[in-house]
Amino acid sequence: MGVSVSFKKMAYIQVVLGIVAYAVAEGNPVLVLAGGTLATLSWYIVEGPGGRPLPEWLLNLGVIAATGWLFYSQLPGSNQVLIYSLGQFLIFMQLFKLYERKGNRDWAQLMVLSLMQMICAMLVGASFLFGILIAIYMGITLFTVLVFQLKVGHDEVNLVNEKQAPPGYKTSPVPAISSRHFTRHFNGLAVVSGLGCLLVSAVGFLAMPRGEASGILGDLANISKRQKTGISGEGMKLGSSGRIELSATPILNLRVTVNGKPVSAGAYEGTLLRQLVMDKYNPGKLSWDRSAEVVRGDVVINPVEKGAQDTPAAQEAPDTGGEKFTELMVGPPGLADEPVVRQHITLRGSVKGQLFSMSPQVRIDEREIGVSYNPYDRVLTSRKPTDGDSRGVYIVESFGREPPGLTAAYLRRWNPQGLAPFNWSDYARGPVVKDIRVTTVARFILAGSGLERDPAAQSTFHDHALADAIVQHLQKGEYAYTIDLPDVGTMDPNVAFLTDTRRGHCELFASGMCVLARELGLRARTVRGARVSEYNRVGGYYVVRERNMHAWVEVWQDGTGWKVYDPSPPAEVARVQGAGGGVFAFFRNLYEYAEFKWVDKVITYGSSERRSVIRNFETNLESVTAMLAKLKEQIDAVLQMIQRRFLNDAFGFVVFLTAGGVVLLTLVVSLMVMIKRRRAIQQLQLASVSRRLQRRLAKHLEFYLQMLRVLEKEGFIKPIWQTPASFAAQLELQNAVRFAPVVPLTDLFYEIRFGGRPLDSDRSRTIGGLLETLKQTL
Amino acid sequence: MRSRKPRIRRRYHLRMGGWMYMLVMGFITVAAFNSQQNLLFWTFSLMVGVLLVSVVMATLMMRGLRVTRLLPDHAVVDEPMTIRYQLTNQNWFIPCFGMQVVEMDGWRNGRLRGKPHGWVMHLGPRSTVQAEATGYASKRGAVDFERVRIVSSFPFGMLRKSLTFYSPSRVVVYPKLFRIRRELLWDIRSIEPTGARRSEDGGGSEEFYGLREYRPGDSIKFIDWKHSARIGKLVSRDMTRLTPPKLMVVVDLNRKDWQETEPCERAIAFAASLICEAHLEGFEVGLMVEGVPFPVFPPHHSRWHRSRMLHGLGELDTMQKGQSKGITAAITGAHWVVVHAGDGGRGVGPAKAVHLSHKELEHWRLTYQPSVPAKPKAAPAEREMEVATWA
Repeated sequence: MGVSVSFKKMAYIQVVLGIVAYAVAEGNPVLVLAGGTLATLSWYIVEGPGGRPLPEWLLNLGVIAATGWLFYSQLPGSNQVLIYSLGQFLIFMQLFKLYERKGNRDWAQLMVLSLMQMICAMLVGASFLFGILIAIYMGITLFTVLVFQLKVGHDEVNLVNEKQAPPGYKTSPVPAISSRHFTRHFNGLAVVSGLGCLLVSAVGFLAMPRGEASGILGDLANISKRQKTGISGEGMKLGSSGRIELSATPILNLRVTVNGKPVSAGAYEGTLLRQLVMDKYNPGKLSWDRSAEVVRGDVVINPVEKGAQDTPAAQEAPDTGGEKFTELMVGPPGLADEPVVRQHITLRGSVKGQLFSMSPQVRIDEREIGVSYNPYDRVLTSRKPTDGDSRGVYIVESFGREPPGLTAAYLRRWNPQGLAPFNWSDYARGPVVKDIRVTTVARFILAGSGLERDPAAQSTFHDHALADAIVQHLQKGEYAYTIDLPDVGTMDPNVAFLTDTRRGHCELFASGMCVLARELGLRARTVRGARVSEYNRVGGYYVVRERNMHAWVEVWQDGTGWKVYDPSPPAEVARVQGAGGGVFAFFRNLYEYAEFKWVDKVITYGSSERRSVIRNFETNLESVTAMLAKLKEQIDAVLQMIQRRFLNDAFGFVVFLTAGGVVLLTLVVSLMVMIKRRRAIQQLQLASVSRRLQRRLAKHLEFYLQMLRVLEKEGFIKPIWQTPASFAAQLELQNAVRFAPVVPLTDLFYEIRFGGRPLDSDRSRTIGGLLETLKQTL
Repeated sequence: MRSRKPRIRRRYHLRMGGWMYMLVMGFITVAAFNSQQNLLFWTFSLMVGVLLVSVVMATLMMRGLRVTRLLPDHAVVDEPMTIRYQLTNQNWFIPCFGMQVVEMDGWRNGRLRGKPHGWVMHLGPRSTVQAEATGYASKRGAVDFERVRIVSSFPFGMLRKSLTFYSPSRVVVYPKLFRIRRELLWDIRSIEPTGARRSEDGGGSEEFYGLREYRPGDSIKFIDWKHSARIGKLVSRDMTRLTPPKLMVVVDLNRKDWQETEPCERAIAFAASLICEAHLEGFEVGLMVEGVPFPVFPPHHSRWHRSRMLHGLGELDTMQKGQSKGITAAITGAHWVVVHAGDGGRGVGPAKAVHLSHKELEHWRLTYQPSVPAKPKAAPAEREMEVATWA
């Protein structure tokens, strides 16, 4: 009965937790509330006092409806992903099962459904919270399965007994026989089993060979329903309206060192990481893009020969573990003393192809990502899809500022590799939108700056000053920063922002500035990237989240090069993108760090990590072997010393032999005492008392064992199941005279064992006398 | 004393759940390698871990298990027979869980209704428990037990490990016992109008039997003071004692069709029930079987004697032809009841014996009906005639 009740409770917890975990993995709060509530409610409706299951026909109807819904959701034209439909279908099935009358088979089905749902959840989600739920779920499932086995076995025996009984004979349930310490043993075995499973699974997980996903599963592979609100794919699309949801999904982690030395915590907050540079505005699509001419300039870094990447040798190539940097420029003289900022970047979310880095880049260690580089706009593009489920780690080294002559340095590096021809004169130049109001604003700014600018001129020496004027114009208070974008109808969003609404987010500020700069004839381009805003003090790295995505402008001036201008109001940007402090900052950082480790060590564990683990294991094994060899040498040395000192002459030999004999004798005697004591404890059935009491009683009750030995010699053996009183009574009945001392000895045994009486001198004398009498009478 | 190493056979058996588990594991493997989802890799590794732990735990758990069967003295047809087992876990560290104790052989000759199953939920390391399995005998005779199997699917239910212990032993199943109408015994007793007889031996308290030397423990009121004074030492009066009525049950297994055993079984069951009923009523009961070789049990009143007779009836082979072995001439003063497997004849037993043919056995059987104790069914003509004879 007890096993049955505890099993039901545990199974309910398992199922409810499974439903909640799936809903968390799917990121569906409605499912958490609805599924969790209905599942919990079923306990009171079905299992509670006076509870009764729902009618079978109703549940069958529900199952049919759920199955129909599953097929309907997969009809052509439906947008439902199979795995989500399957997960929700499994929830329905579990709910129906929870509300019906359940035999052992139903319980087993319920548990299997729950496990299947967890597998679906693993395909759907990979968040840290889900990982925590999996761990709890697995622990509970382990106990549930173990208790279920006991319940099933007991029920099976009861069923067999019922079947075998003669007709009309009512059988009673078979008693559940159990020896002492059931709970302790059960919990111990469960923990050992769980740890064993975990150990094997950890070894399997770490050592199992990894390769490329073949995609046979189609939609089931690499499913991600998360909305990437921060990065809107290729280019920068304007024209949307409504409130932008700020997503806290991490994109990357960044560790920074300067010339190989760590920098102070948070020193790089506010730094801009470039991702995509856009030089062309498409009025039809209302978006900024990279011009095709620039895209042709992408050069593959470290190309792998065709076919080589598919071979196992390429996949399993030994990882040296060292850094393999590729130079991105042939630096002009005078840059040797320039400080180099090293960025160690670990991707944690989707970056839609382009990689983040500070500009200007000097060299890159691309690891296994496979990167193309464009020396014209300095964009790094990943050749493999880098989403949240596939890890990407790369290291970029950049200069802290833009030294003159960089473009030439880049071209010197890449021109020999057949760089596509490029028309510099028209690059990032010319008006973006033709609207008189925009022209008016631009001329107003020009007039306000007190400078003059020929729109046809390629570059002038006060282009950067003009850009500063534009930034000042946009930040002076007339333009408001907001993430709640106004609807501009059919109007171009740039025109609307600059002349009408004057409200917008970073992309509109950047785009507006670029429009104004181009209107004045400046060479300007928009840049999409991220603003480093959050430093995790627990992990010692910066976290870039989707809400940290940012846009700004780069303006060219001959002799100086590209200069970065961020027209968005810095205070507003910092407010929106900041991580916030407060008393919970530490815990938030801790959780964030744990989540990163979960993703880094579990979710994105790949072939390189596997090789690294195996390499570490081999290294450790070698060190252990070396340690053992050293130990053996030391033992050999000690043995040689013993031989030299003691065994070379007769006296030494005798001393050594005596010492060895004494040690051996001590060991043997200790062992015998230990065995004797254990045997006494067993014979006296003292296993249940404390160690201290065991020792005392074993010593004081030695006389009873002596009595048993005396009787045993004469062939009267006390069975282990027989009580001393019963044994004594039996002997007395057999021959009252012969076994006369047995009864008083047994009484003394009871007095000392259970009565708490000491073995004082009077009792010792009495016992001695009785034992002597027993020997004589026998 | 050095104990003999028990003969044990160990077997592993992958259950249906285990096959299903392997199948699911195969699917997970395919899914993991195709999707390269790390959580699926982990799930697959975990499943392998569960399988390995299952094998290891099953092996270690039942490694030091020993079982001793403690059979009852006898069983009775259609009544529960409790077989006890003493299970000992000799393992130092690992406890055993969820063990079914199954008798493998008793049911083979149809004497038991299936295999008796026992259940031990937990057996700690270095400990002993007593479990019990209940079997139901369907036929009288000797039931031979040989193999006891301990089965456990713990911990995960996919692998079933069994240990078979070979321990031959037997138990005799007594014939089916039921209550007999007490009127039958009253009728028999009514033949002797004086009721209980007096024994010719002393030791009672009824009438004077003789004098004897005083023995410690004798009641003072039985001391014959006059005689004691005359001879100078204590003399006690010895008195006669009452003896219970004697009943000799004869089972006549002679029948026309020797292959037909059903009437014989009914007669044997009736005789056994009559013996028990008479024992309860205080009769001295004896037993004799006609038609098959069987020892004669002279009337006596003791549980041990009753058990011997029931034991004999339990092991009686109805297919063997022969005669009772024993002297019936010495049996005096007993009432004779002859239970016939067939229609019966007057040739068996003394002239005053009560003859019960196979047709009227059911009539004397007491059945527990919810209705009031009713009149006996319409007795057959032969029965009426015999009652008339007794009267």
